[in-house]
Amino acid sequence: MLSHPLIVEAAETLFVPVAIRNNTEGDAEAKVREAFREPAWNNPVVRLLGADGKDLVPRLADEWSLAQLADGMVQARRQAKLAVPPWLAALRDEAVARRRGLERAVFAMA
Amino acid sequence: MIATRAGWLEGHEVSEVWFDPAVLPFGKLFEIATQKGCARQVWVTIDPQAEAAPAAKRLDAEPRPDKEPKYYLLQTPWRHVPMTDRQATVINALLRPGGPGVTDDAPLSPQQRALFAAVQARPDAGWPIAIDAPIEAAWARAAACARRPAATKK
Repeated sequence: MLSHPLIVEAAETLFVPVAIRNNTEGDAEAKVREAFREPAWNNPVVRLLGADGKDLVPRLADEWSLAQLADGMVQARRQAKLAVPPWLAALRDEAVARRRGLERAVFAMA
Repeated sequence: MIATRAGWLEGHEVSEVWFDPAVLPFGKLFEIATQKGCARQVWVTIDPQAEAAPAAKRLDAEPRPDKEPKYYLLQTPWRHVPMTDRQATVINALLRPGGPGVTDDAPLSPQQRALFAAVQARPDAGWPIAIDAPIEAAWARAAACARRPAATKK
């Protein structure tokens, strides 16, 4: 999900992306990890934070899907009272719909 | 509507439609298509759809895909810009004859619009066609093309 080009663009332009390795001890990254009470050597998590460092949406840790991350980004922007650009909203809607399950039908005009 | 694909089935020119039933139930889609004259024949894929459209046929064979998918998109430099299925469906509709074209509020990201501008600036740079390609692979190919230096004129 983190390789999807629109997720990358959203992370780079609509948020301030910060990657913290979770397998270090005693360094600055470990201090950040501990401040957020994240265990070392855990599975990756994504946290979408406001300017005050508090979670805007629940920590994303159990699914690692495009739908979950795109939805989290949209909800986080709304929670922070920031505009959600149409392209991110469309990405979220498409990803969530695919996760829910699409139906298919065929139509002929003539 | 999440995705569409033009094709041919039983002698008909058809549109395959993938939609989110939680947002647009098939009954409503069928009603809209009928009002717009887009449901002369319908093929359904699951039983609840058949209940909503009793005259519809069951889809037993795959439509033959059109040789020029996303036809309106294909006629413009937007064909080189990687998009999700939903984006491509929306942009193709905006580019239809008499349509508004790609408006400022169309669901395209700044980087997609920047790539479109790059294609327009260097139309002969060998940009790959991105239609129907997975967006991650298409994006990597387009980025590689954008990085190639422009050919110098002799």
